[in-house]
Formats: sequence, structure tokens, C-alpha cells
Amino acid sequence: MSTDVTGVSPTAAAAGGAPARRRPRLGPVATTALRLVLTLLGLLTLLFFLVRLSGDPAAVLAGPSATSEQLEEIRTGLGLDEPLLSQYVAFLGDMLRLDFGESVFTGEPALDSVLAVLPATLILVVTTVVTSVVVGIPCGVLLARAGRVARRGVSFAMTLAQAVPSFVLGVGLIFVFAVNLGWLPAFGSGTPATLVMPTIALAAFAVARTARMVAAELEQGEDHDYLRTAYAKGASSRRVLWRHALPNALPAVASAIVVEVSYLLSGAVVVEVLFAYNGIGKRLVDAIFARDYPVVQAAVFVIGVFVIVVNLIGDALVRVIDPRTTRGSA
Amino acid sequence: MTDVLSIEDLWVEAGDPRDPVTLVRGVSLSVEAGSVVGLVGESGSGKTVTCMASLGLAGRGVRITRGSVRLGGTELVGADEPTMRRVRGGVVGTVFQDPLGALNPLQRVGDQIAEAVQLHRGGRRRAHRDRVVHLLTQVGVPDPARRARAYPHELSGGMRQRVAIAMALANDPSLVVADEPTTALDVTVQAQVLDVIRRATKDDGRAALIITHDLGLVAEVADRVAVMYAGQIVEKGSVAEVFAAPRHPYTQGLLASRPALEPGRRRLSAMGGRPPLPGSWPVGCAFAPRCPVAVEACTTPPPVDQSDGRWSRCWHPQVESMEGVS
Repeated sequence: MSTDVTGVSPTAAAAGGAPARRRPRLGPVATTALRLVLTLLGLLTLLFFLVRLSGDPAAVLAGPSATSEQLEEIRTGLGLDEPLLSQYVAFLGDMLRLDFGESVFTGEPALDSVLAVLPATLILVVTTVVTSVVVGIPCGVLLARAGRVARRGVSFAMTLAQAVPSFVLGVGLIFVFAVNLGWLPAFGSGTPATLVMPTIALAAFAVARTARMVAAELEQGEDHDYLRTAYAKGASSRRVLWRHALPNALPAVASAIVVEVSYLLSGAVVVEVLFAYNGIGKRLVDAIFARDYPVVQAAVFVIGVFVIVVNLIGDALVRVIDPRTTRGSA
Repeated sequence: MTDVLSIEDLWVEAGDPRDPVTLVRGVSLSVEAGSVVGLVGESGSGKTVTCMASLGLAGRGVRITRGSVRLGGTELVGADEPTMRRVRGGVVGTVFQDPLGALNPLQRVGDQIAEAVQLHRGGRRRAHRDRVVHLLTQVGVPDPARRARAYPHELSGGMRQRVAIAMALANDPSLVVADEPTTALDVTVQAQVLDVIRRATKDDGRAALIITHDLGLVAEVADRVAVMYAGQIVEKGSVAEVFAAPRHPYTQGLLASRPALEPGRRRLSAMGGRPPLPGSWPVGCAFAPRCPVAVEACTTPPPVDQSDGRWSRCWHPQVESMEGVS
């Protein structure tokens, strides 16, 4: 099951159908809302077919010893004997009412069981993003501006952070800090201490990517005239860096971090399982192994909505940072 | 008159220190208080590098190897960073060629001007709001209080360059250095911006060094002119004298390739060839390969001729005045 459902903008496709001359002019809010609805529809359609393509749910649920009568009974019960189209319509109807059915095993509403563990994952994502910004930006500045030795050192560390997969890093962290030093709990969730190692395992890659992005933007912007203007006004190189160069690198970095957050969720699946961290990733994997399709659907749906929301927030953030995106030229 | 800026025997090089490329070779140039000097030359002649290197704004890898730059009594070559920071924006204001690129796209223009004030006078940026409005009024920006809140992309090219000039004037500098201040602008706007520059310099008695390839601009605002070719000054003097009777064949060529205002007077002449690139300058006179009057002697470095109070770097300075060019 793929969690890699990044917010692909369907507006272009939607607008393409209208005659070029009389394209309806929508306000930014309406455009955003339309985009949200279309993206969600795409996500749900994908979800519908993915579940039906991964084998006969009835056969899996009934188990290998089931008779064909039992199978038929389950199929009818789940509506699997209906034509695909009416199944699809019924499915969309259920989704509209946010009815994902009940967990096959616990009988609990599937959506509730997913939402119950969502905050844990959100906290993990937030700590990871904060870490990647707080550590990544200074590392990027070092990469671009530090002396040769420091630059080499940071560059090596960043390459290492990008090259080592999160589960290897996670196992290494458990070995050192939980088993040998005993400083941190090896697994579990709910206390701040349990957040530390999953955050590091998850953030390493994001820190390295943010740092490289910041460094690339700073280097690219190095000969921007406005930096020379700032020097010509009498600004120190530190002031030029923090007041002029870095803010101009941020729109690109913010967009990159938004994309990063979408990928973080797939990383969270691995890391949560590794650290037995009770979040949405672990719930999803458990449900997949148990063939608990209602929970799988609910989890993928929630992750998809999360990614869409993150993209919307990201767009808004770039708008706030860069006045050129909201204020037209006079 | 005292010199505000005095550059003496300035040598500038760039690139790998083991295999450097010389960009400026022995430029001496001074700007008197209250006078406007035009520094003229083709691209690559070293006119911009001379000024930017003097102010320490030439960027990484560009080094002054010899010479002296004195600005209002302060030696800038080898000066420490605090001194340079005090000079830049305080004693000398700088205007660049491309006004859109020269302004930070993420900051309101008023804040950018206020930053220039704040860097030298301290205090908070907001405290300098009146000064910002005053500066914008001075450079002819209509509705200055509202324009101060605009972002660079919301202003026209002419307005942006006015903002850049206001920024350069922020701390009432004794010298303004302007690098091709009108080149990036529409022709209709050029005259207006030139007018702003003239008012801010000549009319206010403020010294200015204007880098340009536009001889018309020099004729209009400058008192003195220096012509650069291949990293050297080949001729300098008062605008009246140099334009009336250029001594150096290169200056003559430049003046002759200006379109005349009177129609049908003469054919527009253009100089053949191109200026040599830095790093491939000949041993002798760099202009010799393009010079219509070059002789054998031109393969050796030409001496400076200072007869009749004029200054040119040529083996046989032309003494007759040119015909048809004023």
C-alpha cells in the first residue's frame, strides 16, 4: 500500500476542459477548495482500486478452510458481488459520510481507531520538521559559508545522513543509546523520551536535504545584486547573510520542506514499526498484515488528507514569505 | 579644491593567485569636492572593477595588488572591515545598473532605505520613517509615504532606480558612485533619472563618479571625464576640452561613433575591431591594433603626454581639433 500520495495539482487538468477564452475566474479560496475536492476524489478512487486489486478480500477474510458458501456469504455481506461501478458509487457514498466500516478484528469504527493514533504521528512529524529546520538551516549556512575544513566536515556528515537508511540508523541508535548506554527507552510511545530516537532516525535525511537546499540557494544567490547593495549600504557580511541572503533562500527551502513532509510519512511507517511507536504508520502496517481492510482504507485516507493539508499550508507559507506571489506588479 | 576621492596607481587582478588576470593596471583618478567625473569605456575596459574594487565591493577573488585609494582622508586599500563599513553607505553612496536586481525582492523599499540610515545612525528602522519619506521626495517619487510600503516588483524601472538613488543618499554621503545608472532603463525614463542624479550631485554640490559608456550622459552631467581602455586610463581632462579636442585616437573614435544631432552632416563612423579581453593585452599600446594612426613605436608602452595641461597616454597625441564633432 502506497502512502506516497503527494498533492498533485489537478487544477490544470480541470481547467483544460473549459474553453480557453472563457475560463471561469475563481478566487483563491474557491480554487483551493476545488483542488482539495479533486485531489481527495483522486485519492479515494486510487484507494478503491488498490484494495480490490490486491486479491479477493473475501477469500482473505474467510481464511483457507472456508467453503464456497461461506465465501459467497462474505461477498454479499461486503457488497463485493455487485457490479464494480455500483460498488464504486457506494464506496464514495460511504466516504462522504466518513463511514469506513468497522475493524474486522476489534469491531471498533475504522476511522476512530486511526484517528486515535494520529496525534502521536503528528507530534513525531512536527518534531522532525522542527529538527530539520533548526539543524538543517545552520548546517546549510556552514556548507555555503564556512571555512574549508568545517565545510568538508559538515558535507561528510550530511552525505552520511542521507546515505544511511532510517531503519539502519534507528537500529544503531537503539543499540547505542538504549542497549549500551541505557539513556533512552528502546521502544514505546507517549513520553517525550520515546520521541527522541524516532525523531533523529526520521530527521537525519530531512536535515541533510534542507542543509543542501539552503547551501545551494545561498550559493546560487551569491552574486545577486541586492547583496552587493546591502554591502554598499555598509552592512556587515553577517547581516547580509541573515537579513538578505537567507530570507531569499527561504521560499525555495519552504517548498522543499513541504514536499519533505509528504515523504516523512512513508518514513514514519518504517520508523514507527521499528521503535514500536504507536502512530498511524504502525497502525497501517499492522492492519495490512492482518488484512484489516477497513482500517487500511481509513489510514490511507487520513494520511492522504494530511498530505493535502500540508501542501495547502506550504502554499500559504510561501505566499507569506514572498510578496511577489500575492501582490501583482503595479 | 580638495579631492574627495583620490585613486593612485591602482592595480587590480582576479582569479587564481598563481595565474592571475590583471583587470586594472595603474589607474590614477581623482574626484574633487563638488565635481562630477564620468568614467567612460567599453565593457571589459575595467571601469566598473576600478570603482568596485576601490570600495571593496568587487566580489570574491578580485584583489587590489598595488596602489592607494583615499576617500575623504581615509586610506581604503588594506583598511579593516569596520572602516570599510563606515565608509560604504556613509561617506560614499552607490547606485547600480539594474535597479530591480539591486533591491531585495522580499523587503518593502522603505525598509531598505531605512536600513541604510539605521546602519549608520543606529536606532530602530521605524524611527527613520520621516527620513525615508524625505529622501523619496528628494528623488521625485510621488506619494512617497505610500510608495515606501511597496515591494520592488510593484514599482516601475524608473521608480526603482529613484529608490536606489534615495538609498545611496540616505546618509548624505560626500561622494556618489553610480555604475551605469540609466543603462537598464527605458529611453524615456533615462532623462528623468539623469535629472535626479544631476540634482542630487551637481546641484547639491556633491561629488560623483559616474561609470558609463554613454558619452551623451557625460556631456550632460559631468565636469571631468576619464576614458578607460584595456585596464588603463588613456585620456582624462575637463569635459569641455576632451570633447572639443580629444587627444587620444580612442577618444576620437568614441566621439566620432556618436550619432550627430544635426541630420545629414556626416556618416556615422564605427570603430573597427573589438577591445582586447583582460589577460590578452598587448605589451605596447592596447589600442594600437585598432588605431588608425598606429606606428612602429606603438608596440612599446606609450608614455603619458601632459603638454598644454592635457593628459593622454599616447605616442603621438592628436593636437588638431576634430571636425564636425562638438
